[in-house]
Amino acid sequence: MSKTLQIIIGIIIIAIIVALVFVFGTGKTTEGLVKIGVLAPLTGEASQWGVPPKEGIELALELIKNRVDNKKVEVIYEDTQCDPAKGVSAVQKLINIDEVDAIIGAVCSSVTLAIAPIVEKSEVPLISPASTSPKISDAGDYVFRVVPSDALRGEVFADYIKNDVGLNKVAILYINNEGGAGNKDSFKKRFEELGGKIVAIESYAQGTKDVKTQLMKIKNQNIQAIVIVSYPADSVIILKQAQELGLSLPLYFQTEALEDPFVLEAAGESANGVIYILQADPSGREVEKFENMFEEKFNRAPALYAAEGFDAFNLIIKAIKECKAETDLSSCIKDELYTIKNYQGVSGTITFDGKGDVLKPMAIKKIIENGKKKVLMIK
Amino acid sequence: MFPQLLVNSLIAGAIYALVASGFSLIYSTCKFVHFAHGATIAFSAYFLYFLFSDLGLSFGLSVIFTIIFASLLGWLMDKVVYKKLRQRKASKVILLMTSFALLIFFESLILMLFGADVKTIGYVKIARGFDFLGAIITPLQIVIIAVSLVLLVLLYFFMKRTKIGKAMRAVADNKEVAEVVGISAENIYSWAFIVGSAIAGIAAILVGLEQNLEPMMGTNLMIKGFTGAIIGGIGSVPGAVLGSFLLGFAENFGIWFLPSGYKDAIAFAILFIFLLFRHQGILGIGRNSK
Repeated sequence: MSKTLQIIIGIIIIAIIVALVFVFGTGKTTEGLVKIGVLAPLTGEASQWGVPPKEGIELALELIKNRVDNKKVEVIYEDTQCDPAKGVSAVQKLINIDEVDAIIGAVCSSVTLAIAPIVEKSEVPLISPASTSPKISDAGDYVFRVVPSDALRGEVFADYIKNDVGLNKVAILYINNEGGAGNKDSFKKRFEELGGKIVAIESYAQGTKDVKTQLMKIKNQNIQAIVIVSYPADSVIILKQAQELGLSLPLYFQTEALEDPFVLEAAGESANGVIYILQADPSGREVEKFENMFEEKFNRAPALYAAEGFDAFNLIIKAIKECKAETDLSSCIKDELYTIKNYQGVSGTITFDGKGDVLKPMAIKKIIENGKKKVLMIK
Repeated sequence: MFPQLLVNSLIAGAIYALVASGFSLIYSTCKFVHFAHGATIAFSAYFLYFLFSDLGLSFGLSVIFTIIFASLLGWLMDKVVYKKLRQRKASKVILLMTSFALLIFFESLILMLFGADVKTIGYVKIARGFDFLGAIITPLQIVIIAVSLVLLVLLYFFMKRTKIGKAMRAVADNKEVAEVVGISAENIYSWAFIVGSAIAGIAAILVGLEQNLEPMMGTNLMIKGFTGAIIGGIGSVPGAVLGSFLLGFAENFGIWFLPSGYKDAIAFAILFIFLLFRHQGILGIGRNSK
């Protein structure tokens, strides 16, 4: 065989393959098949938040026996390693090559924000099981999440302090990093909208062990309470130094740090009477059932965000069921998700607002004494 | 409010001084930046926690063992790591990088052994401090201020009066000449690490009681201690103590007038001013600026 002939045959074979791929490989999803892509950090440092949602999804897929109505469900996992660049290539692959109908992910807020414009342009709905950055609220029409935005906590807390407790003048002390500043802003905005007054705002750097002067500056103001946004280690320092300085103002912690048993042990009596806010624990028969099934499958209790992965998957399946006759499945799933109200998920009751943010009940708790806590209100 | 501000500044300054004095002692003798001094403090604080809270030893014994442990740890760092590098004629930059590596190594070790949670030694109960000339201060905070001042005096006499202290100054001044008159520089380096690290042990006990324990506490303490030492005049132990108090005052009085977010900015602005206009520090006068 001459060399020219070899080349010609080669070209013909390649052309045939390309043609075959074009004919059979592309075109909207094959009849009777639904594809769901999952983007999560499955390896690397953030995998502790990425693997649990994957497990939740695996369990949910098993429970529907890989089928919805008469269609087969296929789940495609992509590892983002919590890296926005890797997330972008992974989402391109899911959308352009796998042609998924919906995506669950990403886990890290930075990745979710990086891929949001792509899913928006390709009109593929996305549900994040774990990203809490307030910026995601405005990331696009097709972007949903089943964890509440960090902003929600501040808004609910402002509402509680202004309307339920009836305080009008407060000071804020917050940890000066992205999360802390975001939490502070959401509280401040809502509290002022409701007619309250923020008299003083003080901050401290992450890793600080001395807030005495900040507390003194606040103490000198005419205020009724201090609202604190902090991390576990500095929560202890704030409680200790407030006690030592004889600060008698009520302290409201806008953080789940006080739920940490180490913090309560370290703070001891200085934590008595403190009020704090966090996401309410989901409860009920469905939650128990999920936990039992999860333990049976994986031989351990579900970790943080496993329930969120489970719920995100089931919400997409629920939407697909409603979209039977639709030709444009992706857009229909998006529209259906916006109509979800009071869905009893295993991660809590889920209602999406107009921005695709979930509204989940928050719990306001008080530390009575010796680390004992009491739920004051679910809001 | 002025008395309270004064007291807050003194407490902060005393803590910085506890860190800076040991660090400065090692620097002045060995002439390289031993950042792992922060690791000595952090590791010793966890050692105290281990003895007192985990093993249930009496507090007095735990304190003594902690100081011995700190000395030993510092001495070992010098013996096992720095000495070997000096023998290979490693430059100051190599030693500096090594000290960073040691700091990170020990912080990771703490993380592995004790976990990332906050630990409290729990010897002093949290209670309202008592009023003292219009300011509120706790007994522990008085001890911290007192210890840092006593240390300053003791170190001064140690350097001026004792044989080892004099030898340290001789080596610091001119290593070659000191060796000619029969002082072993390597021996003196060891002593500098033993004494400097013992001070780190004292710092570990007091800071651990006042601020609780965290794996990264060494780095945070070192940043402020180092700044204090530079402001006071690196290489001068009394200067380091003075600089640390100045830093404490500047930070606390600064954020009384400025938003509190500027606390670290104030600290580093002072550092820059000193580096630019008075790089020999407060007590740098009359010293030969080699």
